[in-house]
Amino acid sequence: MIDYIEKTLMDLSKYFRAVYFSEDFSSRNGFIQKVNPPIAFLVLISFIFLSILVHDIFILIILYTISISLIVLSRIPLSYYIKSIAFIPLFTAIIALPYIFYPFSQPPFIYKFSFIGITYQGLRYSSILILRVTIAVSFMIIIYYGIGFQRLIGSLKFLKIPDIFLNMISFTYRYIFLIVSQVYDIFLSRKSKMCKSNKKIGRKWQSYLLGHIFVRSSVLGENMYNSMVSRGYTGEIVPMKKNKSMQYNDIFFLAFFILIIIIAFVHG
Amino acid sequence: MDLYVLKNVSFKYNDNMVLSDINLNISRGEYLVIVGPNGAGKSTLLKLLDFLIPPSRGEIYFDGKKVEDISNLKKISPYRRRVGLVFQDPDVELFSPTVYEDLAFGPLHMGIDDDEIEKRIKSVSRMLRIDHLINKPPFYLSDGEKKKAAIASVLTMDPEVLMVDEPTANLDPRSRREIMSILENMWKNGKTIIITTHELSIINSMVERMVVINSGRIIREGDPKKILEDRDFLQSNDLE
Repeated sequence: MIDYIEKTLMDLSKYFRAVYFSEDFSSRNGFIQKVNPPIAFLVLISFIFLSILVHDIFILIILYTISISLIVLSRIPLSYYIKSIAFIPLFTAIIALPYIFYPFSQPPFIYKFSFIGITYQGLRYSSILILRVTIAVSFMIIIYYGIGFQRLIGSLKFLKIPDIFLNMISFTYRYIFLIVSQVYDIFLSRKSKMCKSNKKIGRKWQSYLLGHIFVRSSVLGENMYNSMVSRGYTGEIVPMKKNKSMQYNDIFFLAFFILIIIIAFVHG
Repeated sequence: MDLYVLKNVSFKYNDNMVLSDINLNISRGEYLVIVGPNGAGKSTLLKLLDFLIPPSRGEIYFDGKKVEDISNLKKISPYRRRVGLVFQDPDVELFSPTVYEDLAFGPLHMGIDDDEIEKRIKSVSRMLRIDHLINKPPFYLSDGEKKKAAIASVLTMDPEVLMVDEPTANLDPRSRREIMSILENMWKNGKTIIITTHELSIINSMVERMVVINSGRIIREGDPKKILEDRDFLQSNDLE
């Protein structure tokens, strides 16, 4: 149990390190990077909502293809994409697994066991669920990697999202950076001192660790806030003002994708 | 006229007296080093000088004006933009996805326009030789690189006063030399430099005045050369 918790925490911190501390793809000369960030954000978020509303598998597959094409065109390495989402469709597949037997014992069956069977309807439901989640996460990846965190905050500010909400996102994001590295270092230091595992000591250590992380995060948070205040932070979100004025290609991008979204919505 | 005047400043944290009756004047363009053992109150003093915490007692004057109501961030902003503090732990200074965004944070909050910010980032990162790190996440930087990036994040604000808390902590000899030489250059360019340290070896001939604090009190101040020669004094204050 202890090893399991430890392994989960360690893997989580490794995951965050690998995914969130990656190279900055938002400064690359890619497709999404060239679009005005608020416009790109609006279109991408619309795709996410669309994936939730559409019921047609064919349309969902098209949406997934669009997301992959945008990832490639935005010069986001597919390896990062896979690393970032790998476990999410897998996790959804586990949740959706019982769905393949729906409705429980009524034909048409694809494959029948003794009294239950995999039904067409069940398979369709579970495929839709997995596709929806995968598409939504794929577009989120494009938002995160393609637009970049600071420009994303700038876009949200532009879209009149209240500062309090943006502050919460910014702080959470910044704390994750610090806490993940702290947790990782604490684990490594503990590992270096462990010769053999002792469950009793292990349990004790887990509770110390949680307390320590809590205290550390509070101290770090305070110091980080002080450092922000020291550099002029007054509680107001000041985004990077790199949002250029709207260009013709932004209007074309907006019109083209809105058209796709409307067609997909009508047909899906 | 003195840039800073501290009159009987004390700072209490819970029931602990961290600083007691600090009387200190700091001139414009001075290179001052505050020396003291661990827990002497050096970092707290810098936070007071950066108007991050209010004194529990006493008064702080900056450029002839009494500094009050520091909890009002907008009101204190004109003072704070003239002062830059580099924290001891660079991790708290580097909180953005990339070094570039960390360097832009200060000037952005000062309302400086994009082109000027870009210019400052380029010039500061070139000066500190971190231009190749600019698009990297701070997380992957070495300790020395992080320290330089933290200093750069304050220098882009172009502050009149540069304060660095333990500039050489956890650094290798080469990085130490580089950081100290950056500070010297800043001082030669007319900035007021205030550093804290417990490492006497980094105090060089450039330092004009040394203030020794222990247990929250100033116990000696003056010519660094003379203080450094007084071995008995240094030993009795856990500085050697």
